[in-house]
Amino acid sequence: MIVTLPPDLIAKFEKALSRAGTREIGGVLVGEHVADEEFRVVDLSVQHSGGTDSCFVRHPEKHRRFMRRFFRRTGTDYARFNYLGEWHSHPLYLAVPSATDLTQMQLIVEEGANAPLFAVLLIVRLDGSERIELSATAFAPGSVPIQIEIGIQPRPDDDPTIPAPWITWRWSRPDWWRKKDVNRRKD
Amino acid sequence: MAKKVWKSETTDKRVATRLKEVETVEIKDYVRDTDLHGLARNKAYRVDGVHIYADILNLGEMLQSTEAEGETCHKRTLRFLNLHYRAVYRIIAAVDAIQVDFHNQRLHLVVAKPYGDEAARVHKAVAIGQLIMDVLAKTGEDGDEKIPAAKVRVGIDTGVALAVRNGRRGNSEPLFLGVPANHAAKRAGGGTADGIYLSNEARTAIDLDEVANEDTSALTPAEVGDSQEEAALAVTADGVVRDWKKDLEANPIGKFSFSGHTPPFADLDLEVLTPGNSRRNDAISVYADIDGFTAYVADHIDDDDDAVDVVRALHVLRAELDAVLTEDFGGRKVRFIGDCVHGIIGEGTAQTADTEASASTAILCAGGLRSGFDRALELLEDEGIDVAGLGIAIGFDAGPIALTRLGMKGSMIRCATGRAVLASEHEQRRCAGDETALGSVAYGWCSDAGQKIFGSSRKRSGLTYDVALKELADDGDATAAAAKVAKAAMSMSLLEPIIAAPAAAAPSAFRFPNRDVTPTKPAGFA
Repeated sequence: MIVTLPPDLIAKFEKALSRAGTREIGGVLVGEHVADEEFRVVDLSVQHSGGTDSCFVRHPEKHRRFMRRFFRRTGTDYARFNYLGEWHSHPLYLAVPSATDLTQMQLIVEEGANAPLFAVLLIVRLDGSERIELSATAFAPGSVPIQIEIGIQPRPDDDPTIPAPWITWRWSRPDWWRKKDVNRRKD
Repeated sequence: MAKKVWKSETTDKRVATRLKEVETVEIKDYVRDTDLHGLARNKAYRVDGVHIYADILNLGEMLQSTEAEGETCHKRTLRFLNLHYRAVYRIIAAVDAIQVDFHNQRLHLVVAKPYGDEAARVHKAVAIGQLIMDVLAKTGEDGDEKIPAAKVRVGIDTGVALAVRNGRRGNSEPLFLGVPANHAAKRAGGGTADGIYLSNEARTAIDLDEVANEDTSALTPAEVGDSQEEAALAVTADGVVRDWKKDLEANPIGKFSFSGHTPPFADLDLEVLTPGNSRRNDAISVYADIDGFTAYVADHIDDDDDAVDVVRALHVLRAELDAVLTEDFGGRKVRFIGDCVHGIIGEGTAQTADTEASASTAILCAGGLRSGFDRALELLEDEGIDVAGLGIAIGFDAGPIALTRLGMKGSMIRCATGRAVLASEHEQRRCAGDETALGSVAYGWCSDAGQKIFGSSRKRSGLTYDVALKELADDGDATAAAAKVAKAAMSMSLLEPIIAAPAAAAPSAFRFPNRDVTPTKPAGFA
């Protein structure tokens, strides 16, 4: 199995990790099933709260809107675009899963009827030269976790998962605006 | 969170760093008024002195004073130690001796003065030993919590030892390596009868006859009296006790108050602990002692070039043991005791220990300590440093352990106590340089796989990290299985991807179902 990441998400990791300092942060990964055992991380959410120097708790309500928007963008084509897994940082420790991480991920893929068929865990950290180090592990129900290969690959030109650009309007003062309002900035 | 993984490459990096710190080492002879406190790590002194070890014999009784090893028993034991530590501090200050270490029931002192007069130093050491016994016989308490007086056994030897730096940060103290320190400790720990026991070297120095068994031949009252007369110490037991009482009134010992620490213990800052802010957990106490080190020092102490090897080897080996315990397995080093490291390790929460995971982690850690030690020896040899004849004996046991700092304000010392601490030291002592042993409580905490490793003798030779990991994981130990995954994953990084481990999950599992599978519950990671 191979999972690829686009460079803009590496930059997103770097920015978020740099801002968080020694506090652990994390979020969820969403992906595209590209080929037989190849998946592409297309976006990730960042939860800055809920972490300490040595642990992180991902709260589902903080990622609900992110997931809703992602599914809206991808036309609820769940078999192709779906929840891929979890990520969190280890600012003070090696970028490898802890025993707690392994147990938690196994629980995610085994608990409840709505559990995913598999999930990927990315552990990320900034090394001494502020570059990203990461590890990826895949979990499936009833199986031992396996390490997976990570690759960096630019997004396809017609990536349907990119959020639409913001639309901006030029604002101009309407006629009814009080021109002598002392609280307004003078033109 | 510690990964419970030992890797040869990690040790290689650590040893290279430590070796650089002792690239140049200076060996000097101890001369008048050399300050042995705050020694540089690349400097050592050859000290001709008399070593005194004083063992409080009834610490074990204190720990057994209640049927269950609860908070009351630990509070009484810590108060018992604290009262006696404070009394001994007064003695040390009054007799101009060098305090080397206080480790639970054991005190190590060195008498380096008067210079050039070995007989006078031995007489002084005997008088100090008797003073300690007399003072500690009066420093019990009759209050609500009756604290008994301490019964003391003193061991004394004389000769040349190597003083090097021990400890870090602001509390660096001298550590003495060599035969006299070791023999004095052996005389103090050589029996359960109180009294003063001299090695034959020390006996000869003050014109006493040699004896067949040094551990059963205590000095007679007349012999002690002669030494007291020769030494003519300026302080008396009554004077020390009077000052001790005044000090206790002015600075009463605070009440001991415990809270649990959430593992890993590597996160615990021992330097902020006080009686009122102590910790108490069900955990595992680990002793790892460098076997053959006393003989190694004795063989190397006379020649400067050889003595340099001692300083380098000790610095590298102790640092590696500390790093394996703390960085690789999330334990906490309590202290170095000569060539031995004492640490605490455990898993679970502040309130409840995960006993099976704690035992498995301790087994893996013991394996890591041995592998790290063996690898460090190889690297030292590669650097041309003689390390022949060294091994490592490891013992551990489990149970409630209290962690705090005791003594006088401004110079408080770390203390970890509990039945498990005494038992783990006992386990380590029954090991040779290639053996690991565990106590009966820790054996009971082990998974089936853990118990199988040690068998009914609770002892195993050649237990390296790879052996421990394989045997535990093959027999279904959950902690080892996780460590195995972590070990494999540690080889991965973005820049250096490696081939993934054989996939145990079915390939067909890797697909998205045709539904939203976003988890709806919180997820906790560490």
